[in-house]
Order: sequence, then C-alpha cells, then structure tokens
Amino acid sequence: MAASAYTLRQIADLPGHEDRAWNVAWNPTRPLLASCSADKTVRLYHYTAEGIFENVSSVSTGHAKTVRSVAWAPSGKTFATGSFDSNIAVWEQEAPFEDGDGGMDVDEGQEPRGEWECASLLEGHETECKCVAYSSTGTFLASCSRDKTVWIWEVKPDAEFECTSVLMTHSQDVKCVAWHPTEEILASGSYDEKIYLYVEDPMDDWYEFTTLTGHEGTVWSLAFSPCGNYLASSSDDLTIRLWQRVDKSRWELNTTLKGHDRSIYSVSWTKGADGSLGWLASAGGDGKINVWELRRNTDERKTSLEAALIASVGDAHGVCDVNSVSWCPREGFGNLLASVGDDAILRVWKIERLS
Amino acid sequence: MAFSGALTLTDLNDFITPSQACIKPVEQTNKPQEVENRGDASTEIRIDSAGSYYEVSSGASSSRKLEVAQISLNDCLACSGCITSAESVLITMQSHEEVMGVLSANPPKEKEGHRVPVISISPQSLASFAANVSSSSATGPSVTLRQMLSRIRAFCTEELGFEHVYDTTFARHISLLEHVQEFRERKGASRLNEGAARLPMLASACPGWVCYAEKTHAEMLPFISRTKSPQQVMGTLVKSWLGHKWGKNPDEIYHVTVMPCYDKKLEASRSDFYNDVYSTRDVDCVITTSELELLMRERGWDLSLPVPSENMRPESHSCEFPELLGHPGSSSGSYLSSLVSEFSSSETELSTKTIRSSDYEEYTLTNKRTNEVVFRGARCYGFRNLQNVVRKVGRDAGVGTSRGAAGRLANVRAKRGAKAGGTDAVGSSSYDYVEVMACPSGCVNGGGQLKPPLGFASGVTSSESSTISDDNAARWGNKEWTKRVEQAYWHDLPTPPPSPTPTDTDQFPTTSISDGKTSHLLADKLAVQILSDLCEQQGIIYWSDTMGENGEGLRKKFFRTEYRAVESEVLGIQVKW
Amino acid sequence: MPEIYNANPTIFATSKTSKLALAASKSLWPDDSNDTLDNENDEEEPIDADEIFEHIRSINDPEHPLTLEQLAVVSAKQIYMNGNNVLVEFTPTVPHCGQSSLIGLSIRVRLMRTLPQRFKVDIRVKPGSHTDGPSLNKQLNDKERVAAALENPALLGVVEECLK
Repeated sequence: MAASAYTLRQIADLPGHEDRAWNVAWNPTRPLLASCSADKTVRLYHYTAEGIFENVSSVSTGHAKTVRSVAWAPSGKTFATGSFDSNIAVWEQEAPFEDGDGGMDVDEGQEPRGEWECASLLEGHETECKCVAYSSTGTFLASCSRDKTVWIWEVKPDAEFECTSVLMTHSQDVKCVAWHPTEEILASGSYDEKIYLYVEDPMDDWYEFTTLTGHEGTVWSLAFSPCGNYLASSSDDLTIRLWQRVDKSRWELNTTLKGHDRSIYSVSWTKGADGSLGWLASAGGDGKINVWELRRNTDERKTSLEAALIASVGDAHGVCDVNSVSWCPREGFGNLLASVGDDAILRVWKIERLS
Repeated sequence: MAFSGALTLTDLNDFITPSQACIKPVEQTNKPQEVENRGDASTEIRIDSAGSYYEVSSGASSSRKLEVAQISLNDCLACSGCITSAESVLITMQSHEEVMGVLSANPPKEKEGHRVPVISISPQSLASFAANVSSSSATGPSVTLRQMLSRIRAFCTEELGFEHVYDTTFARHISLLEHVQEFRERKGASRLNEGAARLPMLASACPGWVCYAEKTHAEMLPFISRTKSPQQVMGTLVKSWLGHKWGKNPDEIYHVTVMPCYDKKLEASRSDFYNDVYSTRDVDCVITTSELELLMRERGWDLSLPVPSENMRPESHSCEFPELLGHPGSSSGSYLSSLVSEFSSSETELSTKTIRSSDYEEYTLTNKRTNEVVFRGARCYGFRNLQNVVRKVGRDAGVGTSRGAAGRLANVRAKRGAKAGGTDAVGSSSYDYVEVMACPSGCVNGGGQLKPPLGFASGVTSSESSTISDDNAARWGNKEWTKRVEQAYWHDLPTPPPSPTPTDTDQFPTTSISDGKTSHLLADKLAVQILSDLCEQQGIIYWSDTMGENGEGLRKKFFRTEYRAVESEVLGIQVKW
Repeated sequence: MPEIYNANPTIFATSKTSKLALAASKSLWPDDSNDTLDNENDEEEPIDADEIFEHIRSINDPEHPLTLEQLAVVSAKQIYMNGNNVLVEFTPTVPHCGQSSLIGLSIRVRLMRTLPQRFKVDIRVKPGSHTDGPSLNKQLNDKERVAAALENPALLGVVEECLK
C-alpha cells in the first residue's frame, strides 16, 4: 500500500473573514478561489502558478444572514451564493471579458478586477438555504434548504432563471446537493439520513429514481467520483460511504470508510494519480483532513474498492472544525486542496509525493 | 381532539409549499414579568411536529386549571407560521363530523331555530366521484356528472336531511361574468395608467395560491382578481338571494359546500365572508370530496347504484339554478377561456404554446389582419410554475421584494435593462391574464379529491415506466388517475378544447353539447336578474351594465372581495429551528 | 406567554459556589497543568466538570423563574469530560417538555461563549428522560442548525433571557 507516499503541505494561510467560514469553491476556468462566511461576505483570491494567493475582492453580498454555500458555474463567469436568509444570489463580474475571453486562463497576471454584482436573486425557500450547486453543463442550478425541499432552476440567458422543479422528497432539513460530473443526475443528502438521486422525466417533472439508505446520521456532504460511477457521502455517523452505480438507475453501497472521530462535514473527489479512481478528501469536526486514494480491487472477484489513506493532517485549522474541503478542478492545479474552518481562515494545501 | 377520519395528511397534494409546525399561539414574554404576572397569562395551544396537541394551562397560578386551547381558522389566516393548506388543526372545525353535529342538532322544520340545510357541490368533486364509481365497476358504463349529482342529491336529502342540493356551476357562471367585468375595468384603468388595478390580472379562485401570495408574495396582491370564487358566489346566492326568496335570514340557513380542496375551508373562513349583522358565514362549512365519501361509507350508501331520478330529464325537477353549466376551457374553472372568448372575434386568431408541460400554456389572441396581439394569457398550474409566474409578473411589472441582496439586484437590473432592452426567456411579452392554480393539473387533482382506487396504480402500465421502480409506479398511477378524473369532468360537459384549433375560435365559447347555448342564455338571464335584485337596480340588461354608485357598491359587496398581506411576525419562544 | 409544560416543578437545593466564584474561576488554575490536553496554546487551562457546571447552573429555565440547577435539569454529575471532549447531559423536568430544545440551546450558547474554542461540546438529554430524546440530541448537536437558530433574532432573544 502506498499509504505514506504523500503528504499535504500547507501553501497558503488566508485570514480575512470575520466569522466562521463555511464553504470554499475553486473557479473551474480562472485562477480564482472563493470562500463564504457567517460574516455575509464572499472573499475571492487570485493565485499564480507559483502558489501565491492574493485577496482580490471581498463581496458584501447583501444577504441578511450567513452565506452558507458558494458555487461556481462551469463557465467560471458567475457564482451563486446560498444564505441562511433563505435566498440564493447569482453574481457576475461588472466588466466581464470585454475583449473576448480566451487569454484569461494563461495570462494570469491580467485577472479582471471588476466589481462582482448580484445579477439575479432566487427566492422561494422558506428557511435557510444550505447548499447550491451548478450542473456540469451549467444548465441547472440546484439548491436545498431546511424547509425540506430541493429546488432546481434552469439557467437562462441574461442571468434569468426558471424554476424547473421543487422536490419535496426529504422529510427533514436538506444539507447538500451535488450533480453528476457528466449526466444530469442530482443527488441530495439530508438530516433525515437519506440520499436521493433525481433525474428529469422529459414529459414531466424531476423525480427521485433511487434512495440510498444506510447512514445513521445526518448526511453532510456528497461528491461524485470524476468517472461518475461512484458517489461519496459523509455523515454524522463518522463514516464516508461510497456508492457504486451498478446499473443505469441502480446505485448500491460499495465501501464504507472510517477515519474521523467527529462529524464529517465535507468530501471532495478529484482525479488523482493515474490508474486510480482518484483522491477523496474528507474533513470535519475533528479538525482532520484525510486524503484517500481509491482503486478498483486488485482481487478481480471483489467489487469493493480499495481505499488507502495516503495523507492526513490533524488540527488542520487549529482546534477548530473544518467545514469544507475542495480540490482545484483546473488542469495543472489538481494537487491543490482548499479548506475553511470555524477559525474563519482559508487554507490551501498541496498534496505532494514524498521523495 | 378527534381528527376527521378522511384525512391522511401525509399524501395530500394540495400543498403549496412544505409546512412548518404551527407557531401562532406563541407569545414572547419577559422572564421577570412572567413571575409577577403569571395569573394574566393567556391560554395557548401548541401542535408538535407530529401533529399532536399539547393542551396548556391558562397559567393562572392558583387554579392551575387546564383548558383546551383553540386556534380558529382566522388565526391561521392571519399567521405566517405555516403556509400549508392542510393543517390538521384547521380541519377539525370544518369537518364532516361538524356537519353531522349541526344537522342532528337542527330543530325540525317550522320549529324555532331551524336552519335550512343547503349543500352545494363543485363539479370537480362530482368528477372525482364519477371516475371512482366508473373505475370500480369494470364492466359497467361510465357514470355521468348528471347521474352523479342525482345520486348525491338523493343521499344528501334522504340520508342527511338536506333540503336543497345544488352544484356550483351556476355560481361559477356568475363568477366568470364578474371576472370578465373586472378584467375590463383593469384594462381600462391600465390604459389610463391608473395605478390601483393593474394587469396582468391573476386568477383568485385557488385559495392555496391566494394564501401563499398573502403570506410570501405581497407584491402580487394588486394583480390578483378581486372577483369572488364560485364557492363564495354560491355563498352569496344561497344566503342573500335565495334566503331573501325563501324569507330566511342568512343565519337561518346552514350552507355546506363540497370542494376538491382543503384550502377552500380557509377561504370560507375569511373575515370578508362573515356577516356581522347575522353572525354567520356565506358558507358555513366546507367538506372535501373525500369527506363526503366518508359520510356515504358511514351510512352504507352505495354510489354505484342508480337512483330513480337520475334518468329523468333535468328540467323535470325544480331547481332555482341551471344545473351543470359547462364552461369550456379548463377543468379548474375556465377563467382564462372566458377571457379568451370574450376577446375573440372573426378577426382574431388564437395560438397556444406549451411551456415545458401541459401545466403551463400560453394563449395569444392575434388580430389576423394587423398581427397585433389582442390578448395574451397563460394557464399555469402547480407550485414550480407558480414560482415562474411570480418571477415573471414581478419582473414585467417592475415590482419585487426588497429582501436580502435585492437592493443590489435592482441596481444591476437597471443597468441590464438599459443595455439589453429586456429580452427574457419565459416569453418575451407580459401577460394580460394568468389562470393560476396551486395544484399540478389543477382542481381535478385537488388534495381533497378521492384517492385512486386500490390497485389502480399497479393496473396502469406506462410505456415510459418500464425501467422505473415501484415507487414511481404510484407516481404514474396518480397521474393516470388525474387523467381519468379530467375525463369524467368533461364527460357530459362541453368537450375540453385544451388546444383549440385556430378555425374553431369563432365558436370557442360554445363548442358544446346541443343545449349549451340555450342554457348559457338562460343562465345569463338569471344572472342579470340576480344582479338586479341584489344591487337594487332596475332595467339591467347585461351583466356588464354600469349601475349607479349604490348599485356598483353593492356589486362589490356581493361579488368582490379583498386581500391582505400577512405580516411575518415570528415570535421567539417556540420558533422551530 | 407560552404553555407551561410542567406547571409544578420540584425545586432542588443548590450547591454553594457563587457566581463570583464562577467569575474568578477562569483565572484560578495557573498551576495544575498535568492534563493530556492539546499543545497549540501555551496558556491552556485545565477545566473540569465542576467548572463546566459553574457555567451552566445559573441558566434560567425558559418557563420558570428558576435556574436549571434548582430544577435539577443540570448537575455536575451529568457532565463528562474526556480531554477536550465535553458531554453535557440534562434532564428535562417532564418527559414531554417542549422547552427542551431551548434549554439545550441555551446550554450550548453559554458554553460556546465561555469555554475556550478547543472544547468540543456535545449536549444530550438524559437517556429516557424525554419522549423525543434522539431527535432533540440530533438537533442540539447540529452546528448548522444551531448557527442558523442564533441568527433568528426572536429565538436569540429568548436564549438571551435564559442566559441573563
């Protein structure tokens, strides 16, 4: 087992939020990292190939309460915020890409610094919005709330949104939503300990086509594997469960991971080393960040995945809970992991092979 | 406290949005005061998340006497705590048990204190019964609404002792007339740019939608039609017009309606429909279709058996109102169609466009010569479509909420508007009218309707459901069932033209059974007579005739209503968190 | 006023430590540093169950002019320490007490405000003491629900009353 072959090295320590930081999200196309906080702001950081992070913006969202969740659209041009004030806001940069996009990704020194402005406000949730997520194509934006509902909005041109579905499947607070990396499949996890997967019926509404049960506590976070054949869920029950797609619409429990001793608030799955099914990062109330490398079983008769804990950092945010971890999705930066915690700090880690 | 047995709250679908537990009774008091003033504390009730009651002491420290607390329907209407329609606590006050209680306590005719028991049944309820009876007798012929009405009339008079049984289609006829009238007023006012009454006009017959708007979208209230719903027009007809005819005061009549929807109970309880002088409501009690069915079951009444009267010609029994008047368009009341036909002429062409599903359709009337849009409306059912209508109307009319990030939003919108000239996705032009209903598929699918018969879902196989799990079989089953109810609804009413062919538009209002035109003419005539009687106005020929100030005032009193935003006041101690 | 879930509670004698002692307690322990506690802060104070109890004993009951200690809702015996993990158990006065979530929330807020950040606090109703124990425990230990609750001014107001 290559269990000790890697290490997580902290490369940036970014204070700035004035209250608990809840969520962190990498822009998928531009060198920008966003974090949100109970201080009602979103902070944006620009970074260079050398790993220098610089705060470029602090967006006062105007949300009346905690900004719980932040998510970038796949285009990287807009992001959405979900707040305890029950609303969702969608943000665009003021003078976006005037001279026709393109150069942005390479020319990292020229990151536009226009103001981020609220282009759309999505109301509808009755109580706190807990999570927002864009589908892989950017066609849909999903949100969930303590009001037990999951909403799906269709993203229309000109920052317009159309409500496509209001799913009332869960019996409790819905904590998280996540989209499949290639298909239009939505997953939601809840305080009711269940996970539902939804697809759209072309003639009708979205509906849940399967329920994943087994967790014995709140489901806090969901992450699909990059290949789309697995779904990771993390929970209050101190486990991470890996669910495998065994058929078009059948998902089954494959593996259960244990490695935290308080609630696991966040999981993030990235491509990882060649030949593997990727790296899964997890973090939670025990202050620990774990990175697991997942592989198909070397014993061909077994379907269960092999999971190796390849790196682990204790007290990643001092004595505080880690609320969110996120792998950078951009090509060439796949070894960067961002984390935020109750200490209001954003940290960036690089996973490196021990030489 | 006993619950109405017909209710299964878990699978109701007349929801408008998920419910929160009731927080109404909660008052926040300061701790120190509490010590001194415990004797003053008021009685409260709480319902926990499981729906069970906690009875609560009055707080009087000496007696400690426990009292059963009460929440009236009005409390609920005035509260923003829960937005759901089917709160169990409300329903006990308007249940079939309540009806039976009143009827059994009613002194005999001619005795002091006797109230004339009247029951009015919605056509959607009749359709629900008809579909149910038709599907349970696999071989037998399907039952018509007319037969159903006869059988229910027999049950209500013979078994329950009702003296009058009506259906609500004539009340709807009046509601539609007044609705058109109001639309014309609004259109005139908006042309003159008078602020108060604006377009688009939004239908108000769905009390779920009205409650939702009052609680969460106050900015929509100016657009919502003031015309009374058929139920409340029926209330006026029974208590005011018939009552007068019968020489009975409003409180000497007990008026029950049978509705497809729990929210109709809320509607009937609104203070606007309460008569202070006689301390009575226009509709005293609302029961749902399934509650009426429960009564039948309790009495061992078999609705599948014909009654002698049902094959007689409708004219043969005396009824004050025309029965089962067809209004082509939608099974939820044809509000949009009535306006479409009002603005249709030989010069206009109707086009329809389905947006996403049959629950959201746009109707556009265009002048064939000039290509000018004469009227643009939409039929919009279900919660998600309703969200989009709220967004669209808010955007088009430039009204919006002012919460959260909205302040910043306005800023960007202004810029964007200047830049882009306002093209948007959901239809580029604003509507004149929207028929809004909270339930998917509208009122035939109301939460108070009968559930599909046992085994119905499994009997239905949809070609699209082959890969779908058992859970979803039920989903398909319910949809199929709603279709059956819809079919039953139109069975002996004019056929529905959901997407009328353009060539049909000339006859649009009456592509119907043979006597459709005649019965409508009779209905119009009677409606005008009633208007004339109630508004104390002689010489009216058409419903739209303008009356004097007094007459118009009475028109408002008898056929219009009002809406109020419900202030969100969440009180501390029992906030659900 | 809300309903009274237990109109006639039993009142218990309280221990002697005063609020003054509580105020002083924070600086009382510079000497005894044998604990297996963490290592990141040099001014680490060992804290025991008695001190935790000092923090919460004076919390007011939401429906009686009495403290949680007087009602025996909390006691030092029901506080369990394991390193930086603190488990506070409380006993509602009646098994259907509708105020239990508020009591638990008040305990949590008091400890959030007084204990050093390194402590991870779990709050539970005493097993069997409440008809809705498991769901109460779940709610009280959901940091997100707690955080959102404290952003509700009306609810926070009630909590502050309890903490006065």
